[in-house]
Amino acid sequence: MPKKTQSDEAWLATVTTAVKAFCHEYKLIYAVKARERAASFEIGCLHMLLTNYEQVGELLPMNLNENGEFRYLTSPNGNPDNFSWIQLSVNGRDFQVRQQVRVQSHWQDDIAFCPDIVVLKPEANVQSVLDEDFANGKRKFFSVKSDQVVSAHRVQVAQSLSRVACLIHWRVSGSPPVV
Amino acid sequence: MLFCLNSFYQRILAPLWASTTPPEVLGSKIPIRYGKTIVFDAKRNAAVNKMGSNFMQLCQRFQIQQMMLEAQRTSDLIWKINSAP
Repeated sequence: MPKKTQSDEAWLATVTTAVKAFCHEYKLIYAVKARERAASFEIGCLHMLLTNYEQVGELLPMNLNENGEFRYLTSPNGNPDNFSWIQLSVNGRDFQVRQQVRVQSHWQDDIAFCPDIVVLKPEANVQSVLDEDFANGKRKFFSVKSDQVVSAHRVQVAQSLSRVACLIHWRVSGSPPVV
Repeated sequence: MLFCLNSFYQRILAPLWASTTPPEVLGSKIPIRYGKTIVFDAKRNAAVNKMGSNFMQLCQRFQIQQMMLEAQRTSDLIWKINSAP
C-alpha cells in the first residue's frame, strides 16, 4: 500500500517503473506457453506428494531415458512402459507412483477414469488391450484394476483465478503409506 | 496495480515456482522431461527461483504483503485490503 509520505500518483509511478524493469529482466523466463505453466503446476503437485512420501519411505525413479532424465507421462494414451515412474519402498514393499494411468471401475469394466497421479500396489500391472470401442481398435487402452490402486490424486486449480498448488487426494483401497 | 500483481502471482509466477522445490530424488539431480521440449532441471529451477525471489522483494519494497498476492478471488483481495492493519 502507498506510504503515508508519498502521494498515490508518485507511488504508482514508482511501482510501474520497477515492474517494467522486472518484466524486462525476466520476460524470457515467465513468458512461456500455458502448457508449460500447467506442466510446472502438475509437477509441483507431484513434488509435494513425493516430499511427503520421502518421510515414510524411500523413493527411486525408475525407467529413466537414455540421458538419465525422468520421462514424464503426459497423457493416458501413452504406453506407461515407455515412461518413467517412482518406486516407493515402505516396510519392504515397493509401491508404484505413476502419472496419467487410467483406473478401471470396480463396478463396470467399460468405465475408467484417469487421475493425474496414482499410487499402485507392488503387484499392480498396467494392462493394455485393443478394443473396437476405443479409437476404432487402432490404439491400445491402458488401465489398471481399481483393486490395485492405493490412492489417486487429482491436480486441481482451486479457483478460477488461482494456479496455486492444490492437490486433491483420495485414498482408494489397501493400507497406503501415510501422506 | 495491486490486482495486476496479484494476477501475475496467481496465474504466472506461482505455477512456475511450484515445481522448483523438488524432493531430493527428482527434478534437480534427475531432470524431468515433459513432452519433447520441456525440461525441468536445476538450471531452470535456479532461474525461476531468482525471478520469484526478486518479485517478492519488489512487492515487499512497495509494502505489498504476501497475503495480498495469495488472495485467490477478487472478493478475498478486497477483504484483505480492508482488513489490513
